[in-house]
Amino acid sequence: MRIIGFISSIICVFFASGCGINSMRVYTMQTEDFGANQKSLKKVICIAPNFKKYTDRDMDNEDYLSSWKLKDKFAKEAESWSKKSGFNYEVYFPSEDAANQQAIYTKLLPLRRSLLMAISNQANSLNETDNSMFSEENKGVFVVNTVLPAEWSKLSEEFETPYFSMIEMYANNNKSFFIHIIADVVKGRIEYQEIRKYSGLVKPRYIEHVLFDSFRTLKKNLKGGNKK
Amino acid sequence: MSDNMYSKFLKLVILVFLLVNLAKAQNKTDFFVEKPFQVPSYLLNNAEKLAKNLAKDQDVLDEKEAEEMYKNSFYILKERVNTGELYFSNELTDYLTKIVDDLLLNEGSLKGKIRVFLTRNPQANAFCLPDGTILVNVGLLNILENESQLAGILSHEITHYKKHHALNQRKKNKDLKDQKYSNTSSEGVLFKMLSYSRENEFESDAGAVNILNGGKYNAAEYPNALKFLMEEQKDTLKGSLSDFFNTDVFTVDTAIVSKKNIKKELNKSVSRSKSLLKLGDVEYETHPDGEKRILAVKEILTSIEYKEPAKLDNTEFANLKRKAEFETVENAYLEGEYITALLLSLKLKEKNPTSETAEVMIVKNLFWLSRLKENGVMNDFLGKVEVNKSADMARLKLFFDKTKAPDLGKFLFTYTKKQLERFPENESIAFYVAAAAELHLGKDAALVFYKKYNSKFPIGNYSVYIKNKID
Repeated sequence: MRIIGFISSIICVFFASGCGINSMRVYTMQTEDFGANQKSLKKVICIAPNFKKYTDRDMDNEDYLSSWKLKDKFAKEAESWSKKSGFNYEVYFPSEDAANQQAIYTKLLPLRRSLLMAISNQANSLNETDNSMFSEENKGVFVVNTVLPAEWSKLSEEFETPYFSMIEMYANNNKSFFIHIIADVVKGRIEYQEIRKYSGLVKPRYIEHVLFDSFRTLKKNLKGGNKK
Repeated sequence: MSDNMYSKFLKLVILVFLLVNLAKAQNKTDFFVEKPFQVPSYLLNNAEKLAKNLAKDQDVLDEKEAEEMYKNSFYILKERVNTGELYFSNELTDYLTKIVDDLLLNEGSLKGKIRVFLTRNPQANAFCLPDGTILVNVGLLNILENESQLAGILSHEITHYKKHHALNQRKKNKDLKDQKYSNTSSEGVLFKMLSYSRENEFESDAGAVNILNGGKYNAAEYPNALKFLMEEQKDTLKGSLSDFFNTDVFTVDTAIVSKKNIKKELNKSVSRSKSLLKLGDVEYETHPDGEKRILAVKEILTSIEYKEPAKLDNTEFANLKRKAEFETVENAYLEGEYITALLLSLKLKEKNPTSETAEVMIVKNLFWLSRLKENGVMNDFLGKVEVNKSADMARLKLFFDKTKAPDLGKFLFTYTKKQLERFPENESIAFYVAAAAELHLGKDAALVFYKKYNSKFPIGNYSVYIKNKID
């Protein structure tokens, strides 16, 4: 009987492991003087959170139909989980709202392009090979700061905060990436950057789990941050 | 002071004032202005509903499949809207719409079905989505010479829609994938699909001549447009790099950018996997060989005994092309294509030697390239840069590859300082002198320059950033 119980418990664990999100790795980088506590991030402008689903293994062909259906959900969940985690993320999403169009299309979306550019020219963990199939968290400081064009610093006056954020998910059957970035436009640099890698497809039902984990990690890293 | 001297002094002051304002006004007109800003309601409509209606109107594919295709096409467009890739409500979008309207004068059935938008993409290209939306990259304007050439490219895209190329291709591809021809290998299927695409291009070229024939645009200019598209990265830089960059630090046309090294760089080509069917590179292309296309169009023009219409006034096109050139450089810079942006801005400087905007572009791109070098990521960055048979690109790539970080920093600082002597009132150059000083000489030395900027431009574009630095 004991043997049967032992074997069945192993089987249960085996199946249970298949129910969650696949194995993942988390890499966070922050500047050495990034906010010492949660209150320092009074207001963050989150620019057009984006969920991109791909049809192939190399992330060349986007499945626009699936991506589009998930974008709204992703943006709403991002705003909601930021609030639940005690942060004040204001999500700006391109929409029919005529009042916001000018600011979004002529200021925020170009800034978002600039953020993407900054991380694409940075030596980051996106191209590293994964050897481990277990969850792992790596935390570090930027040895070389990832800088942004100083032109964006004026936006801090208009939006009454220096912090601008970008949250993106790139998902395909082979692997998925989640990126959460906070930039300080007054200092002209990326202050905090989190990259999560999943070994398989992150399904829509796991979006909130990923976002919850991300804000929890941010909270943890802020509390543990160096004092200014 | 006598009255005569006073009036002379007054005239001089007025003249200086006018010249300064003229220079400022010229800088403002270098770019497209998008005001009042409004996203066209068509782009915000319910994609599902629009796709359903369009699917009902076609008879190439079954309704469900066509609906899926149109939906996909709308979402591609919406994605471009949402990432800020399209321009709205500016003079070039209006200009493109006007040309399309002219081309559709004799195409009654297409009226109201074709829309044209300008994208911020710096590459010279245009394409048509299955629903009749034509997207023209701002980089296309950069390489064309006149309105007829632009009309030729737009007619080509209109024909893609008129002949339902996207729908037909999908049907043919589906037949192939459904294994109706089960003896064909997967590589054979791919080649067959690509051959359909090339056939469509030939058909659209012929269709473009057909649309242009009898209208006000000169169809004989269309082959020239195709030629310019083929030679997108034309080596038009007349001077050598040392003509632009010769500072007291070093001359750049030394051993590092020697002809031998440039040739070596140009010969580096991407090797393709060998085809099982032993077919050449052209079989992998979606578009036919450019030379063949040009020849085919010329043959058609000869066979129909084409008579060229009266020459059009090129003033409006030339004015918009100038703006498109500046926009292309700015967009290449925003896309992080600093080598391309630098090359294009050097070309702008050749054309407009006194342009402050062109100089700001050069300084900005030089700064970011030096920054990449300083941060030790230049090799990764250059690995992504395509030379595309351009000796100019190869020259610049070699220059940034071989020059050491401290030398590049020194060069950037001295070059930028020289430009500030030329344009002392330009706040962007004043800022980049300070930023270059920080990169090359460190924070304390840079503070002097930051303070100078702050006292001269207390509410400038960089003032918030600089105040933070000083504090």
